[in-house]
Amino acid sequence: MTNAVTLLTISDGLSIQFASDGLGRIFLCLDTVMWILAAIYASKYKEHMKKPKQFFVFFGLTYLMLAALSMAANYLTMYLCFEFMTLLSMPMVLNDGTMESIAAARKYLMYSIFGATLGLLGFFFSAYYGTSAVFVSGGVLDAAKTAGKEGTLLVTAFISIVGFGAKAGLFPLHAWLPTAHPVAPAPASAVLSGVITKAGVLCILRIVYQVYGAAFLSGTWVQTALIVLALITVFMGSMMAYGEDLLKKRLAYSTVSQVSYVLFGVFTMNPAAVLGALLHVVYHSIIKDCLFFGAGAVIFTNHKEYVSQLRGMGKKMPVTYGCFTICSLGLIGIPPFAGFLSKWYLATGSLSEGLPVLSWLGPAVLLLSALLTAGYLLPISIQGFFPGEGEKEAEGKEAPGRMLFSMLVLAAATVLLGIFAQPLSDVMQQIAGGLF
Amino acid sequence: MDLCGFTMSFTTAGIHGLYAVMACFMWFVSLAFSLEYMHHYKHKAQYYAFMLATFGATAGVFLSADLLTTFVFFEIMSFTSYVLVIHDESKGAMRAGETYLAVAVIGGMVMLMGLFLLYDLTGTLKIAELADACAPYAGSGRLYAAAVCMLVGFGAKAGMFPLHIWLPKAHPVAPAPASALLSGILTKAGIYGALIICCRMLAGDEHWAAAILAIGAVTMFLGAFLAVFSSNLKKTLACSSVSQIGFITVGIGIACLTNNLSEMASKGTVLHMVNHSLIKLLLFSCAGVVYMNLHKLALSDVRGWGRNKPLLGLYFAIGALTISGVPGTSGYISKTLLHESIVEVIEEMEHAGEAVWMLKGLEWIFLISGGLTFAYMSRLFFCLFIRKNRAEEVQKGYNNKMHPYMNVLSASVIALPAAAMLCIGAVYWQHHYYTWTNLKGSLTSLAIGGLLCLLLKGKDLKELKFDLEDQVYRPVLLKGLVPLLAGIASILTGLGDNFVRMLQGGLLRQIQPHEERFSPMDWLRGRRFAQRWQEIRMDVLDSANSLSFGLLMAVLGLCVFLIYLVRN
Amino acid sequence: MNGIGILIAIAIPILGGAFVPLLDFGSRRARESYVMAIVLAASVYTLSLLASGQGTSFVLYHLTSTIDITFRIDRYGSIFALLVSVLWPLASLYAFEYMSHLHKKNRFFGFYTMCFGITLGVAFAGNFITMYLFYELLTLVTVPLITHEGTREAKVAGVKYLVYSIAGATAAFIGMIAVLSHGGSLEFDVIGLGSAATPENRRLFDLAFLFMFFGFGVKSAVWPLHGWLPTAGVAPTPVTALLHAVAVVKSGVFAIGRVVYFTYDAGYLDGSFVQKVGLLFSAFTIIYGTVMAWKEMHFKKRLAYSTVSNLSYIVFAFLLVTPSGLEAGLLHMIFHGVMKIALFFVAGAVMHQSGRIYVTELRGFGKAMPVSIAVFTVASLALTGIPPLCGFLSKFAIAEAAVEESTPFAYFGIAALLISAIFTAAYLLTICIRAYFPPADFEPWSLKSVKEANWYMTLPLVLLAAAIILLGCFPGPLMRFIGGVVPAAFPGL
Repeated sequence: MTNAVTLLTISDGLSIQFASDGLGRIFLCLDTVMWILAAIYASKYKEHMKKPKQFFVFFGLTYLMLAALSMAANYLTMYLCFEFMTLLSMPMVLNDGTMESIAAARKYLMYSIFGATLGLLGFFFSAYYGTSAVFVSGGVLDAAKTAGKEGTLLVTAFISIVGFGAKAGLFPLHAWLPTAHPVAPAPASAVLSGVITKAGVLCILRIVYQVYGAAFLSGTWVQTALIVLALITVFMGSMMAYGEDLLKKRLAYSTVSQVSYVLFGVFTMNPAAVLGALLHVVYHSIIKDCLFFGAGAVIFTNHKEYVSQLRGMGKKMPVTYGCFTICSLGLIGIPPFAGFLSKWYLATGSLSEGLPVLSWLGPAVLLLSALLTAGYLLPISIQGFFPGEGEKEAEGKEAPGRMLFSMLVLAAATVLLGIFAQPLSDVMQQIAGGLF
Repeated sequence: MDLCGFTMSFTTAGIHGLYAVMACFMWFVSLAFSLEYMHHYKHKAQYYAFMLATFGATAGVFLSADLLTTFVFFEIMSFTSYVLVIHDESKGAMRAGETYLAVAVIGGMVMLMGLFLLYDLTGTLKIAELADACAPYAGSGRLYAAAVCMLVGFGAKAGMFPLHIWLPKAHPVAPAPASALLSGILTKAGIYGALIICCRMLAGDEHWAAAILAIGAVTMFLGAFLAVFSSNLKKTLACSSVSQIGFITVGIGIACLTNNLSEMASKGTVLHMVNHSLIKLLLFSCAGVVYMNLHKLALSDVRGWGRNKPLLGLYFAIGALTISGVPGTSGYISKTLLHESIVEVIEEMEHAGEAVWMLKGLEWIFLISGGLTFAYMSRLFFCLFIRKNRAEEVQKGYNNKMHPYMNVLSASVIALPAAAMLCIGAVYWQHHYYTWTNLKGSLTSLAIGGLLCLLLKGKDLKELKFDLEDQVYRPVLLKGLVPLLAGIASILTGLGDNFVRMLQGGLLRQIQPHEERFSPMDWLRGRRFAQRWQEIRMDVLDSANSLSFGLLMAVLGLCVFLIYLVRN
Repeated sequence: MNGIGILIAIAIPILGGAFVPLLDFGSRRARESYVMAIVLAASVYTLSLLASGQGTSFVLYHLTSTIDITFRIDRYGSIFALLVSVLWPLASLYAFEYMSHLHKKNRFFGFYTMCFGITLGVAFAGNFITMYLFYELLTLVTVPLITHEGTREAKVAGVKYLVYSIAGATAAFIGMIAVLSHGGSLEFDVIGLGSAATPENRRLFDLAFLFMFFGFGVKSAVWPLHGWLPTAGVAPTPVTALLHAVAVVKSGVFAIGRVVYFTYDAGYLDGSFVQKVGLLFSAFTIIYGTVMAWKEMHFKKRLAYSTVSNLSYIVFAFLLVTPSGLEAGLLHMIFHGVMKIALFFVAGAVMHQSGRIYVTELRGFGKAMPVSIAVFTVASLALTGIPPLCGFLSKFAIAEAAVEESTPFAYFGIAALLISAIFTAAYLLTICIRAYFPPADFEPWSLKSVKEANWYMTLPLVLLAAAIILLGCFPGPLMRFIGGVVPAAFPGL
């Protein structure tokens, strides 16, 4: 990273620095757009919240920290922003004030802090064994100093990546996601799923490519282990979503699964796979936000939280369900919607990387997960639009305009980004290439 | 054209253009018939919208020049046709739709895996380049893997065994014009893919060809067998589709076996595809006419309805004769071509001294299936148009020609496929197609069929109890595989939480206020001594305050004493 | 300036404090003024000594021809003296308000102030004997403070403390005698055992080290000798805060540091068996203390266990016997003192204003006592190790020293550090959540009678919070000051 701006120099080797590179800019743009749409959505949803003012305060502060995180130029700054982002986003989860939501917020806090502390381990070692505090593509490890200590450094790399993976919902630290999402207000769930998980992804990207370096990690047991973890998460998330009746929890498990698609691409350490990962970051954010907005609209207007209660709701909320369906098709990976291209690159990248077994097992697991995704998303749309004769239909009405606006924008984005995928793909390809 | 992130390419060469034209033709006929058929139906706008969408997607499939484009339109086609299948929204329709969608999505995903593998292997997905690109890898496991995956996807859509389960359920529940398209042309999209796999990727591969021939044989026979036992008009036609797909598959297999050199196989396959499309269009439209008027499809209900409807009878007869391969029809031509291609290969192999018993068996299955075809088609024809209904009053109602059973538009458009088939038959009325050897095959089939007819005459056949989907697929998947996977997933997902819970229950349990603290000393000493110990402690404590001050003084004194001692 | 200044610095609070129980003050105001005057005078004087009197020494008394009571100002001692001098006035101010409703204030402030002087004595001790003397005096002078409330509980705590401490000091004494009798130097300006450490003596010196380590380890709350600290949590908050977060326990680690770096040296200890023992016990204590803190629901006991854990950070850092280890340990000594005293003060304020002693009772206090809880949050975040607060810096320094050492024991220590960080977040941040985000069914009127404490108590809190933030962002001068220890402790480096 060039032209890093130093905000504060604490001591020799410890300073708070910011810089913008392609990767950071992408995440910043994504954050901003999603936040604006969520804010528009929340401006209507707040009528359903217990403490709207508290919500908006922390909503804004979390965005601030996320923006800072995107622009973080060294490990310390990234860690600082990560911790503060956890602390500031936690109050959004317990907005309801029920014992359940407070417990969920505490769980979120503890899992995230646990993960961040593991990530801190990487900082301790990279500060000592690194040549530069600032992120440099290809890694900053000092070859002379690390001679003989590769084993230790690999262990620390693994631990810190798994730690930051807690925020991204990587097994085994994913459990906060399904607990936190049902109790948080819908706009909060949307940004938690759609954007904040991506903050974890960003941290992992930085560590893998710009602290340790792909050359150091590629081909080692760390890569194998991480890919296995990612694939386990992909499978597990989809499978749990398949059997879940509470709509927001179903979407939460779906997030667990989908973000690990991204992580799978990151860990494969192949330009094509990373391209797929970055594309999926954008696609998943858009799609998952829209899905959560839809779920929130159903809760807000019709007070129904379970999928089994939603037969025939599609006829009462056509626009909501239309957006929901389009985004579902995107998430499954059906062309021409957004979501197909990322899967394509992930699979072809993995196959061309040539890792034993995992090369083809990865795409197979991804496709199995896509099947399960169809299994847990399509029935919602089908039962909504085609309840079947003689079945009891749910009562309800369409969501208010501001909420529909956000959903429509995202659904349109899903379609447009799917069909006109080239521009985004080119940008991402450049960024992906720049990481190696 | 750069869309969806890659370059889409289209072509109108050869079969691409042919089937695009077929699509146009079939959609024209169906939509024209729909005007009358759907007149009293609900959700008309949805129907027409998705009909057109499916048309676009299907055309896209056939016109695509690289497999990725094919995949894109294939998926779109699956989803838009789903809406047509469940149009009625009855319980049966929803369940059939479920099966249809499940097979389509699973097939689509597996096909995508095949595309991934193929792309990784050869680096190209352009159909024109595939033959050359795959040649170096002939016989390699990776190519087979890719081919198998792709065949699952395409074969599922075509209706090949063992993924044919959705056909007999989905086609009957859809509105008749849609059924015509589903049977007639959507299945051909699957065949199209199978053609690419067998004749471009693995042309000349003996093992692969053997597998394809086996699948074809089973499909052929199974479809016909199911059709014989079916008691629903549209279901019979659907099973018949399965059977005919089997015939086409056999043709593809022979073409693959002979490395595209057998002219008869290639010609026969394509001709049979065209024939089948037209036949099913015709037959389903007729069935649609029946349903339009009666709203019933069970054979026992519609029996005798067509007795005084000669035009419909004519249409139906043309279709039935063609599909049975009666000499003089285009069906005869295509079936003969296929049969003769098999015979030709048998002769070649006998010449080369190889074992031909398998192919001979195939030939016999071919002939028997042909016979079964004739049997069930004639059964349908007789049932509708010759026999009288069991109930006298019903028959009287049927005979009553109060209002027209189909309007002029419908009548004319249904005539089109019939006319087309007759034309083809006429075009091919050439000497060499009617040699004795060729006729022999057809007549053998017809004889078998006629025999069967006589045997089963008048008997009401019960539906088969065994349903592959309900008996095998659903239990294995939904009661076996899914719960197993769900169980594994639950364990995994709970690992972190359960670990924390375990700790919190034991090692990390928080000591609540006023809770009795566990003291090792108490436990060691036992309760009896705890009392005494308390008393001792009390005595010691009471002097604590003064104790420390006293000690302070004492120590100071000791210091002084020490200094004094050391000094001296 | 000659060394007599050191004696003056120590004598002011001792003598001044001794007079407090004897004088009869007319009003509360008078007592407060007197005590504050003494304390401030001593603090200011000490700070001026630190600034200008580096290296001076003063021999008070010759016990024998070879042993004498000496004071010396060296960089190591100055750091401790700095910490103590800065915090004592703040603590006294806090104590005025806190003790205003309790009895026997004269006696309390007498011992309290004397304690200041004695701690300075420990800091400025020039050799082992002097340090040992003042160490014992420290024990004796703090016992009345612990038992001040006079309840059964308090007496139990006092006796336990006394017994533990005397036992520990005796063990250290034995070690000291052993070293002395085999040719080691007890002067702190002679680094290491030098020629006395022959291979035959190795066993003996190792044993002596263990005696001294565990002996001083009592006050440093090393497992299994930590038992007195949580029990002493019943003392009035100024006592637990200042003494058991700053003066007494830091004397313990200070003494261990003297043993490790000045009586023994890095060359002897590096890689030795006793170093491993020390690292193991301190790393274990880190984990033990933090887990017990999580389990504990009594507010002050929780903080006491937290102290147990954090002290072992310092001990662990010292036992790495590297320059960076020494610096890291000293840094944490100062930072932890600041953070822990802030935490204890808040606990005390809460108890003082509302009488609540269990953490589960603190729902909604964020609105009722905003300043206190805000300071608590800042200190909690710092103790957890969130940058850019000071706690992160010291944790980082310790971790870097351990990474540099790169032995398995050092790595175990890093693991312990991280586990401790997680639990610290658990047992501190959950309190903040409870305070700021009470459940929806919480009734605000239930805390109507609870108000923020007055400026005597909140001013120190605010100053401490500011210090935490400033020391975290601008630690430069302090770190340079600490860095001055290295040349003295590692001659020839």
